[in-house]
Formats: sequence, C-alpha cells, structure tokens
Amino acid sequence: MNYGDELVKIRRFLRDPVGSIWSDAYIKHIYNDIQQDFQHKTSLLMDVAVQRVPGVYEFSYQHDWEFVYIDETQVYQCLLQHDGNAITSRWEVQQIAGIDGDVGDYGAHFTQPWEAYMTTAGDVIKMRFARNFNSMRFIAYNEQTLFSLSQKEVQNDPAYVNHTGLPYGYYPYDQVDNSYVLYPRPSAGFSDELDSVNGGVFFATDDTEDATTGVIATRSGSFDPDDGLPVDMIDTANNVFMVYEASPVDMSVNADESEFPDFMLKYIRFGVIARAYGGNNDGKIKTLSDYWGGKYLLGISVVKKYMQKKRQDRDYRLTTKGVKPFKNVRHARLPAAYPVSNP
Amino acid sequence: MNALETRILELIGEDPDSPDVFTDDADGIAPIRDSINEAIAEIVMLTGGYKRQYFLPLRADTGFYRLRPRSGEVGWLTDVFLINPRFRLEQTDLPRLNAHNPLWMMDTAQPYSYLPIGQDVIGLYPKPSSNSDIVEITMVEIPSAYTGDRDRIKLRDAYQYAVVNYAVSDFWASRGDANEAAKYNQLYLDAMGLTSMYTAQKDAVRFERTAKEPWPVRT
Repeated sequence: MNYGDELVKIRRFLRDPVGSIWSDAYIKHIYNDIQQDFQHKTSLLMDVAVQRVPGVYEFSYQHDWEFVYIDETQVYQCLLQHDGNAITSRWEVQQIAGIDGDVGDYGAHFTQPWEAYMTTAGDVIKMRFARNFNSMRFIAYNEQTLFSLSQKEVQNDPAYVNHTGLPYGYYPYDQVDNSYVLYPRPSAGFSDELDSVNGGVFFATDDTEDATTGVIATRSGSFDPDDGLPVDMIDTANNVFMVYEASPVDMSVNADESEFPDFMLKYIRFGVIARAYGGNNDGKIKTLSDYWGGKYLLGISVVKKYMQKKRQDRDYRLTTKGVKPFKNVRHARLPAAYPVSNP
Repeated sequence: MNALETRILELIGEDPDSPDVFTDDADGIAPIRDSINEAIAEIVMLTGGYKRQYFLPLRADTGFYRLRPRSGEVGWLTDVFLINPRFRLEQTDLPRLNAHNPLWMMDTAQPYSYLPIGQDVIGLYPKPSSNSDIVEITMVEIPSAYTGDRDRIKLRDAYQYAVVNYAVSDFWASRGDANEAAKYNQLYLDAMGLTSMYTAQKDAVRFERTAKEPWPVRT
C-alpha cells in the first residue's frame, strides 16, 4: 500500500476529497511528522543490512554545497574538510594560512574508497549507514562482533589513520553524513568484482543492490522465491552486518511505500487526521480531532502490547535486581557414619 | 457482499439488498472492507488469533533469513521446530549471544536457538552447517486484506461483532459525527476487553517458572 492509497483514505475521513481545505503538501508534512512520532513512541522499525567493504558509491563530492545538487543516494564525501574548504593534503592548510612549511602526511588521498586499497592511504575510509539508520543494536565485520568506540579512544593509537588489521570496533564519523569508520582499517585486499554501469562502478556482478539504502540486498543464487517460504538470504561473510533501529523515510510522492507494515499504517493515519482536524484553518473541529487523537494514542498502546507478544516464546526467570542467584554451596564433610564406632 | 458487510450496512441505515452509497461492487463497498480488514488486523495483533505454519529450508553457512509469507505479514513467531533432530529451538536475543560468545556469528553446527529481528528477519544460532534440514515455524500471521465476497474471513466468530462495531464507528467518523463514532468504538473496545472470556484453554493452570539456565560463558 503506497502513500497515495493512504492519502485517499485520509481525505475520505477528512471529508475533503479534492483538497479544498487541506492541501496535499499540508497532509504530507503531517504524515511525515507522525511517522517519526510513531516510531519514537514504539521503536517498531528494526532492520538488518549487509554492507560491502569498502563501500561502493555512484559519485564522490567534496564540498557540502555540492550535496544538494547530487540527485543520487549513494554518494561519498571525499578528501579532507577544512573550514569550508575541501583539501587534498594536510600541508595545503599551511599554504592557505601563508606559512612556509610542509607538514608530513600519512599517505595518498583518494576519491573513491576502493582506491585506498591500491596504495598507502592517508585518510580514514568512511562507510555510510543505511539511509534509514537511527541507532545501532549490533554490528559485526566478517561475522566478528565490533565494539562501539569513540574517536577519542581510537586516537590513542598514533597511527590510527593507517592502521590496518582485523577490525574490532567502529566509531561514528559524521552524523549528518551518516558515516562511520571501521577500526583498524580492514586489511583484506579489495576484490575487484565490480561491473561497469554507465561508465561508473556500482554493482558487483550478480548483485542486486538496494538503491535506497546502499546495501547489498541479494546475491545471485541466494534468493529463493518459490522453495517453501520465500526468503532473502543475507550473506554475512566478508561484509559488515548490522542490526539497527530504523527511522522512517519521509514520503515525497504518492508512489512511495512506507517502511511500516501495512497493518500499522492505520495508526499513522489516525494521527494525521487528528492533527489535520486540530489545525488552525477552516477545517478545525475539536471533537473529531479529539476522537482521532484518542484512536492514535490507543494505537500506540496496541503496538506496545504487540511488541511484548513478539517475546512470548522466551523462557523467563523471575529474579530480583541486584540479588545474586541462589547457589547451593556444598562443603566437604565426612560421611554420616564416620567415625565407625563399635558397640 | 458477505455477512459482516450486510450487518454493517443494516446498522448504518443502508438497505443491504439495494444499497444507496455502499453499492455491492468492489469500489462501492471498498470503504467498509477497509474498515473490516483493519479491525481484523488489529484483533489478530492483540490476540494472536490467526496462526500459520511455514517451512523454512535451511542453507549451509546461512544464519539469517528474511521471512516473506505470501498470504499475509509476519506478526510474531510462537514456535520454531527443527525437523531432523525433532526439537524446539529456544528463542534468544543479541545481548545474550554476545555475552555467550562475541564470535557467535562464526559458529556452525546444528541450530538450537533462534533470534527474531525486527518485523520479518530470523537468525539461527549456530548457523546450519548443511542444507539438509528444515525449520518448521509457527507464526501469528496478520492476514492480507480480503477483497472478494467469497474470500475467507480469518477471524474467530466471537470477534465478528467487534469488527462490525469498528466499521460502524469508522462510518460515523467519516460523516463527521464524533459522538456516534466514539459510541461504536467503545463497543468495539468492550468486545476486545473480553479476551480472557474467549480463551481456548481455560483448563490450563500455568506457573511462572522455567527450566532455563543461562548458557555458560565460552572461554
């Protein structure tokens, strides 16, 4: 069910089928707001993603202002950012400041992450979380759990930029760019399995990629649509595997599909109608706003109860917080019949 | 037009034999069907009243599977059973697995536990070492919306009046009458509050206890 279908239903309950009072843009803004509110209150959306290392991107860009002109989702901010400038080598900062001197650099610089594996790279290699990423629940590289680190911890290693090896942690790099860095840098050599598409390297042969999230969706031979339950197998070896809480992506056109399951969409609709009837315009009706607002809050309660039911197959043990579990401590002792006493 | 739709039309003042607004065709009856389908989904969410079995063929070295049932959407998993060795898999979670062994994703053997993630992903631990087994999953399934007169209504009879009241409240809300809508919505909620009276196993006496012990820390 796409956003256009939901819009028709919303307009039916608003009794405004042609948008005489509430414009499409007005409803869309409320819808996107309610989606976020619903997710914040229920934490319903959670997903898994598998990412290739290094990540493969359609375009690289340097300056922040370029970003809004790139009509693609898989883009990489390359090189170094310095006070509104994009620089290649660190000594360029001295030139900008008019200082004679060349600070040493850590290696070569690159515009696409895979190039870093062709030489000694002088920058960290950034990865980007999925587009709908909100917070991390679990992350592993090559099936080995990664620990959450901070840049402060990583910089205790003087060679953290060049340090290669088996990653044991990751740290967030830029929350706006949704990027993070594996530490140490994976030492696995870059496997050139890329297929050239329209002059750019994007897809690996036999991969079907999800353009909206930048993750590998399926690899040829791993999709099993007709054999029992249809499943996507998620290949975790030699990739980053993550389980994360998602943030719903905003609706922009009627064909957009919400990330919430179809059977949850009605609760978002209730919230939208409540907000619309409560808005300060000719359609304001307090009783209807209260009615739909009550249904929205009830829906959140329903979803919270539903989330508890997902754990109904767990075996629980009742314990008291802070109290150690009982344990029978047995001490060595002599048998009851010792010493043998003769009558 | 099925029996539920007929009841709803009667309550909102339509003549089911010759409806004026909600005509007996896919487009005319669509608003009523939308309400019925939404009520069914909510009731199944709350009661787990519609369960289905699925058989998931396992693949060697593959630990995660995305479930995509065709006849509905995954509600939650209630039972997971491994066919060859004939035993249940225990439900577990990420913190427990990480505490057990940070390298848990690398372990390959016969699975003895499963891990639900999000809406439709299931992980198995350890991941299967061969293609030779199948997992039998019993899940609460949120049924797909019915679309035709002869489609099965996947709901116990006991809840059918609740569905009718839900749809009637939607009708009044769509006509701008919040009081009537609230009245019928309350009737729906009253019916939903009677869950305990419709339980299927009144003879069962359950205790809050379990034989579960934490897994030993792997060294």
